[in-house]
Amino acid sequence: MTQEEFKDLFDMHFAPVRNYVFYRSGNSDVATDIAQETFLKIWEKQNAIQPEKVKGLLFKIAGDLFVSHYRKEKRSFQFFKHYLFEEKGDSPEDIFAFNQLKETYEKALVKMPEKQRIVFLMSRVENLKYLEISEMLGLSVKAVEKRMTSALAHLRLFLMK
Amino acid sequence: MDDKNLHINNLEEKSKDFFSNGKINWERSEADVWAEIAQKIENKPAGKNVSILSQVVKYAAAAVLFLLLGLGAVTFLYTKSITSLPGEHLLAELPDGSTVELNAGSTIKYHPLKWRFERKLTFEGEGFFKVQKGEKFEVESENGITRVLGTSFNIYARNNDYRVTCLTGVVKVISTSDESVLLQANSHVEIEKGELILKKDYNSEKVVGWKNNLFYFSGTPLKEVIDEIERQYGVTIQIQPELNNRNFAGNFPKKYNVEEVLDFVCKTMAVKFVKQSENVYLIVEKS
Repeated sequence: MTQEEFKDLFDMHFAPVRNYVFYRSGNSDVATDIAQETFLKIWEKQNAIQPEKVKGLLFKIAGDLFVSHYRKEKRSFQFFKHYLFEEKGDSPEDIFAFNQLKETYEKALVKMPEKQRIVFLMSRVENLKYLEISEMLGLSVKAVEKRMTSALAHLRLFLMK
Repeated sequence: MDDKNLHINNLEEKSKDFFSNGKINWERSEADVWAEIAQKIENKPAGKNVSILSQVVKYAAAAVLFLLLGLGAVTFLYTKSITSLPGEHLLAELPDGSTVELNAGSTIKYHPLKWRFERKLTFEGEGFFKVQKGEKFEVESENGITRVLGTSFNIYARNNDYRVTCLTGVVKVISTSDESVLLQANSHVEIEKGELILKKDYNSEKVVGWKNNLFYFSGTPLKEVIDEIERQYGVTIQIQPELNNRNFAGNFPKKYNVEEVLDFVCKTMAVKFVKQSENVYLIVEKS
């Protein structure tokens, strides 16, 4: 793999890999570090890159790195600390309601099983199709659907309280 | 649609709306990260291309090596042993076509798989060897070693006796004290108390008479003659110890039965044998 090829690989896949780790960790710093390490690993190993498998491989490496990182230091999941919204010039009531909603979502995301959360955030934040998610995570589309359904049920529970 | 479903759809839309409106706040941009990576890989050249295939080859090589080691161990340790029972003559063929005729009550042991590289056997008893030409051929007994290239010879290695008679070719006999002698055709050597006693122009035909079931003795201690009869007929013969060292000269063929032979030996030696039970005899002084 030449450096040019490596750069192409990076441009194509860095963002989704980093997002994925963010959905798992709820920490953008951790996500960046791990995504960076993932690409360095690929470069060091220089495995003959099979285009149809590279995406899955990247997600797998990133996932493994996150797990070993997670074991080392347990950082709290704080999605909305790193996920920002455009300021809306709405009334104070609206802002209050919005912040309440954010808090509820945060609680729901923390409690949500990780597998569901990843699928849910990939779908919601990036608007990825189930097929795309299934390819990245090496799952079947059915499994993605199932996780999504569970995630929504989980969310519903929190929002109705 | 009832109220509940309406609420759910509402929720789904709301969450979709909510989450797609924000963006992740990255402390470092993608370009920053790439700059760091580019710097790191500049210092660290790409590693070797380790393909999955080479991994497989590595394991295969390890497996083959292991197998070879195992095979080597088997080759090294696998021992074949051939024993002739009392009363039995046996022709043992060795892997290279050399043969050993085993007199009754004799044993050879060798490594069949190693034979191609090392013609070596351990031997006890009496045997006539016909050795195919080739690399050295070694016969090891407790009291001596006989080393040859390609020849025929007879070895008698029983109790403390070690006698080698060469019929054709040349053999080398080595005592346990590392003395050695080259034996030409029709010569004979005995090791007695670690010393080699060479006899040239030996009547080697008589030595190997046993092959044709003819047993020749001249000046042989009676005990040895009796032991030979025991082996040839598979019987037990007790002998008064004071008779052990009387010398016997004579010969007998195996075609006679054990009592006829004993009768013949006893008559010449002025002793008599008493039958104790089936296949058990006692030899005593004639009173």
